[in-house]
Amino acid sequence: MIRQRAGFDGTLLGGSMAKDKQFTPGEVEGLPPGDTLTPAEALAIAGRAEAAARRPQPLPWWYGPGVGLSVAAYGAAIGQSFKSQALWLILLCPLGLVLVQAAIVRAATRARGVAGLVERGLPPRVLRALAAVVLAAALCGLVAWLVTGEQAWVGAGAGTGGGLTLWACLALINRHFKEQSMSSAQ
Amino acid sequence: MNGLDPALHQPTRLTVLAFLSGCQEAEFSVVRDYCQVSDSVLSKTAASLETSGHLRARKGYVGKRPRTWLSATRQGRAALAAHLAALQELATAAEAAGSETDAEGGPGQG
Repeated sequence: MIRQRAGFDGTLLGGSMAKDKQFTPGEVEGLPPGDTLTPAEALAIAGRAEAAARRPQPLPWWYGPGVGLSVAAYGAAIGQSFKSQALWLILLCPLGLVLVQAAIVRAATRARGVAGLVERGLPPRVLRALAAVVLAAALCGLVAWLVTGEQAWVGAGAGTGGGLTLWACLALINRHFKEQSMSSAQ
Repeated sequence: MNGLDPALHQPTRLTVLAFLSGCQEAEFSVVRDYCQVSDSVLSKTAASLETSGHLRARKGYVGKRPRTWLSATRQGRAALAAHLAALQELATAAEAAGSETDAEGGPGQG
């Protein structure tokens, strides 16, 4: 049985490749020349391809500013909504933020060419970034409240603080992605 | 061999499906560049995998430019996982057979 399997080793892909003339063997990274692949080679190629797709890619330059500015605009809009007691606007603002963020994420994904798998749970780096954004928004909102005492300025302050912090966090994460992609390319 | 998928014996098909299994979906040109094949080769490969139900192609536009997005189907991901498991089994068996041969004939030879 083992001998039969071991014999299959060397000719695993040769038979089908020789008959499959409509395809040329792709010169995939690490693919040995010729028509045959051993199981180990096939496993290595598949592993490299999957890892290449999973490799984090740098975000487009406009991603951080876009997300940060949309959060800042959301804060300002919420502040104005509370000031003018416009309930419908208070309910509409989160929906607007979600739509804008979804459009930015979608455009960024399209620009990169690969939509990554959605992982379960948030990585620690993202959790730290979220905590920093919430903290900055709360602090800026508090400062705005102490200085002006107006709801509109509290919203604008919190949005600006949170948005700028989010931009900075995304810039740091993007730098990390760039370093990772450069080191894996070497 | 149980689990081996004849559709994935061809290296380009295997590479394309493995790449797509590592992401939700990828643009045609990104897959083509990674696999280092021509448009027509990838197009035929994708069509073949789509026919066998391993891959799904989605056409869309970015501005006025047409774009094709490729993604592995659930069936394709399962087939790839089974194929890789079978390959792993083969590789392990081949390695074991090789070490047995070395142990039997190793000391006498030389």
